[in-house]
Amino acid sequence: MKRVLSYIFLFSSLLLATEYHVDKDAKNSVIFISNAPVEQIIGKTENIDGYVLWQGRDKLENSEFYFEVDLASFDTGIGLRNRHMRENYLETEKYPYATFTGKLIKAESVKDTISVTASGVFELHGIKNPVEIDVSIVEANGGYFAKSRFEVRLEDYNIERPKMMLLKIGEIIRIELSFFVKEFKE
Amino acid sequence: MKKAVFLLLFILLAHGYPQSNWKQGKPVQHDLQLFHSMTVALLPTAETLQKGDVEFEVSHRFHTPVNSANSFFGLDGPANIRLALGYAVSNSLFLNVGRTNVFDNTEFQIRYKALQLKNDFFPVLMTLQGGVAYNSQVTQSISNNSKKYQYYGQVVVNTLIFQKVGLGIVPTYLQNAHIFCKEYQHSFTLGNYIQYYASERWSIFFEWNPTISGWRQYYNTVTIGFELETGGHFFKILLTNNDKVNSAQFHAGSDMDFLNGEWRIGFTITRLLR
Repeated sequence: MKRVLSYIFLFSSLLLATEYHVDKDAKNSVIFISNAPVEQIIGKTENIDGYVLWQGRDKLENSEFYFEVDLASFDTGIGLRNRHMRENYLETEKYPYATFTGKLIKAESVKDTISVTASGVFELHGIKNPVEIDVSIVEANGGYFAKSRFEVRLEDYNIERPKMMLLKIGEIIRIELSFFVKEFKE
Repeated sequence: MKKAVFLLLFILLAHGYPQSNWKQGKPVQHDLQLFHSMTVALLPTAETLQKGDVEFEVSHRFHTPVNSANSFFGLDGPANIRLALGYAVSNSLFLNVGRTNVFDNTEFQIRYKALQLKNDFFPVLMTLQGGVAYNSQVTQSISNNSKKYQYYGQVVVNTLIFQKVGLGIVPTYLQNAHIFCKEYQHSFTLGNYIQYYASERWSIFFEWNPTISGWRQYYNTVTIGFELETGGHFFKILLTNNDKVNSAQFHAGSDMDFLNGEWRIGFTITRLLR
């Protein structure tokens, strides 16, 4: 009987995870930076969305997250270049989103900042690869503010390297994220 | 009691692990874009630029035909030149000012993207374009100053089939087609073109601008050429029987016969400056 009750308690506790959604009204930012022979190409968007299920640092195994970025929303500053990026390289009609889904596997507090490691699958251009990235989180605006940066190799996602003035851009693209999440309340 | 406990467990399990209440939104939709550049040879496409983009243009049309002796295919000159600067006020509205050395013709042009019909097989883009040109340095006497002004209006309709073949039709009305005529002459042309995108960088095009009614210099204009784009630049190299580069002069027809091999070399380079 006691065992049964403890199982009930365990299962019910799983349903008590706090859910956070990306705050779409906040000033979110996703930037990619690519080094080309003639210039540096920077693309920006505010279009990040997703959620985190979180039960605290002690129950990371129950955590879950999903984030997506609308690739057609990136702006490199030149409309024609945006179009080339969408149509020829990222093929956003077929693969509209870059997504990252997984769990938090490590969380440490240093003063007011929580450093977490997010582990999961990053999908881009129809290709999925396992990825781990470090994220720093602080409390802000009644929720949390998350920042991270990581690198993507175009070849790993079957993306042809675009050319600028007939010369190819760099193989590695740097990604910088900063976004706000707030607790979801029904 | 046991049944109640198992029933409760079943209900809890049926909900599974915590499920998110997040719902995916709709992806961003972009304006329809068919052709890659704003013009084919000289006829406009229905494209506009992104708000804030600035476009610079330099064009040459060598006056001497390629089959002339001792002229290095006409490249020794002289040449009719055009310099132009355009600005995208919004994603649908584009303003352009251009000047040519032929009668020092300066034209102001406005382009507005009016209609887009998205369709997998036959998308349609329609743009309205109009302009006013002023010829400040005329070589013959002219009846009055108002005869130095020319006006034109165009409807540009484009489609793109198989993602590679751009087709366009450009009915154009030109007022005061021949500025040295005492009476005002008009021209109505039905320009049309096809542009084949062989790759993301290279394309070839054919442009025909027949005069349907009104005044025409001597011959209809025919142009063939190819285009190279490098992400910000467009380079067009062409052969044409018409050596004019500003729209108000171009639509008045050509002085040379393409059927007689009287072709001129020309080029146009555009660059997005933002």
